[in-house]
Amino acid sequence: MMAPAGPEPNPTHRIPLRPAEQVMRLDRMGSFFPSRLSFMPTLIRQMCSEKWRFAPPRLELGPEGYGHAVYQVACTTRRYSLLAFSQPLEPERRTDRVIAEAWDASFVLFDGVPSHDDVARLALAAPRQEAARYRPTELVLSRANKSVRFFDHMVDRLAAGRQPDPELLRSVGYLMRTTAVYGNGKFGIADRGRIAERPELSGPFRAEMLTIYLIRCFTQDLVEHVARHRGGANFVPLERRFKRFLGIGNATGLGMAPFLASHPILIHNWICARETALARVRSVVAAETSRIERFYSLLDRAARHLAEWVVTDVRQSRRIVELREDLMTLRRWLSAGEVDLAGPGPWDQVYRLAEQRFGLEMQELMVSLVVELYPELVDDLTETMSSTAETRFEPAMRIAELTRLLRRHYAWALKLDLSDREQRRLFWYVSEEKLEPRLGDRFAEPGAEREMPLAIAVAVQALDRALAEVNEGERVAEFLLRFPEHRSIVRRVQTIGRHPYGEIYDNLIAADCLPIDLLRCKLSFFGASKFDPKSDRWTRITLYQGAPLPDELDRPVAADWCYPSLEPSAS
Amino acid sequence: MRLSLSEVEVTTRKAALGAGFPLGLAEEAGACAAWLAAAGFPFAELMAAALLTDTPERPHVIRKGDVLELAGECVCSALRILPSACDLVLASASARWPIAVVACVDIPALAIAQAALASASSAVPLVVEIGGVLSAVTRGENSPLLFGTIAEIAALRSKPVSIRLMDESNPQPQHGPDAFGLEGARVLALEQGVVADDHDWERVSRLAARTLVPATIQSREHGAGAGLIDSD
Repeated sequence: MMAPAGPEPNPTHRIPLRPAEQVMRLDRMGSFFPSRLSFMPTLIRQMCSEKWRFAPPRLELGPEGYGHAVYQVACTTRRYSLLAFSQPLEPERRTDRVIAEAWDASFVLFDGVPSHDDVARLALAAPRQEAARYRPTELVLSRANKSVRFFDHMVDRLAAGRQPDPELLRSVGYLMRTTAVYGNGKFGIADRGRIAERPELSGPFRAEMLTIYLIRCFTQDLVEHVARHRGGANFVPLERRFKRFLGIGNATGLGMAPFLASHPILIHNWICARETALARVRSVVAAETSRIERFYSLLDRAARHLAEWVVTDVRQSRRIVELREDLMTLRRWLSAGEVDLAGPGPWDQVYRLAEQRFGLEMQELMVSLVVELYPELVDDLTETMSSTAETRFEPAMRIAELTRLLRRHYAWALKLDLSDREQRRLFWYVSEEKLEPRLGDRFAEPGAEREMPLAIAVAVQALDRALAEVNEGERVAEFLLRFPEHRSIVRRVQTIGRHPYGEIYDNLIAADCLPIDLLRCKLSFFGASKFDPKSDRWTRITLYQGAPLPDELDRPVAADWCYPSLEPSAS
Repeated sequence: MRLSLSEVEVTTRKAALGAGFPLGLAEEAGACAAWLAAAGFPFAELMAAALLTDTPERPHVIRKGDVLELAGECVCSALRILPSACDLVLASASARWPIAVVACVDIPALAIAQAALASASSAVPLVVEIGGVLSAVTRGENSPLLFGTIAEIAALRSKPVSIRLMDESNPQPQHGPDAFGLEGARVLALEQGVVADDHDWERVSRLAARTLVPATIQSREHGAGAGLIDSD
């Protein structure tokens, strides 16, 4: 039997990991919260521990904020630069969709320090985004739009010598919203292989996370710059607590969803790290008083954070209301002694309570909460979250073993009734229109013959039928010579046999599939919060809200910024 | 045109799908293209030729002792036959009788890419002969040894290709003219990108475009979900 791969060859926990069949369901994945293993907190911790140095930015902006800016960061051995280009944009052209052709600002993360020629070249290219070509010195390409109403409010207030309205700040949470962050070779930018061995950028999406952090800096500098020019002597800078609360918005659509299906080993590593962290903490026999106090503090923090999480989507609103109620109920039970955190196995107790008595959002919030308590037990797991391989392939495997793997890991797919049109209703595709990813109705729209390969259940059932017709002693190599159409799904089944958290145990083409569940899962690993669905296929989120500013990275508490809420003014 | 290795892989995979290859073979095609590009081969020319001269017929297998011949009525498609050829050789590595697989393929250079990838994922060294001449020894994670220049190998068409396990008792020569060049080429590819002939890459890109769905008003309004004006 193929042993599942993951970061625990010698387990340091007595509680087993939650099985993939439980974790890798869309409704649970769509309830994930960021944790200290997420990529943004991991990057912040690295910046703090390695004392990355952020040079004062070079702003070459006109009074209205149009022009360019260069931000430089020096880590232990290298320097990276963010080039930001800001330009006027007519309101009717402002959209978060992939089909947009103009943006308020565009960005490039540059490998090293750009020359004047580089800046001039990218000043022409970056505002064109996908329509231009780039070089391997460019690591990340991005663009962002203003949250116009809030940006204008902020400029008006600061120019008039006042701070922004805290309620508006709470409700929006960002000045600008990125609508794409491209890496790994797109449009000619650097392949991931160029940076994958660098300690500062080896983590998943590390270059992208650094880019977004620097974009956050730019948005704050931009609003102050414009306000300073408008207000003159009346201008006041933004208070530090407000700056810290401001994150970067992001509009995430369908393009991110297929990534989860097409990178099974990477996704397995992410999920396995998270589940291993949970198992380690649940295995703790007794908790120190300080640890218990920290837990209560995090509960309070989470409650304040949830109070500020307000969305218009009906489904998500209901879930947030239920989550707030579950959290209040938990605190009541803790106060009443129904869970004794001073007793044996406190975190296993409290997790089981959540699993038995609360909804999925509270269960997954609990995962995030308890993992936060033990950095010394879990932070090493961030080293296991990358992957250089995509799939594994074993041509010598016998059909009997392949069949066994199929039955073990794809029972969910084998029992689906695919003659039911509702199980086959959706198809994922890429439009000719600016390569925008879209979702179609197979029975009402053209194009299904060009669908992206996310019909995993269909491929599984076809494979199962084919395997039933061959000798179980035959090898995969011989089978695929005769039936090459099954090559991809065979490789996938073999891969999942060793990486069980790499498969989504739900039908991605079923009518009831909600793409935002996929988006939220991936975004939680980025570290995104304030998940704000705008439909079942795109969402807004906030990144780096509450994160330390560059000049705060040397403070001891800089790395403790989970569950952010707007701080009250200092008394 | 200057490209990243990721663009080469993704576009070639889509082109293979657009040309009618099943997904698994399209994935292999993409990986081969990226390998060829990183190694300094004229990847666009090779992949355009391989994708546009596909022969979908399935070969029949003739066993002659420890040699498997994958034979067809005409020259076989390298993209269709070579993944299976490598599979069969690797599968025999754990059997009592290791075999060699022989097939006459349209673009023989792809055999080196395919064998190199198979070697890298399995850590099993493979030997590739083209037209009866030793052409490459693939050595797991290390760059293959080439026996012949890249230009010579890339120019070959419609030749018999043999893939077999390396005989540990009879090791192959340890040096070839391009042994170190291949590793250097990969580093250069990551530093500078790779250059494709515009005409050949256009042919590949046109095939990839077949995987795109023409836009309609309905798909624009409903397909991606974002119908809001975003000046909030």
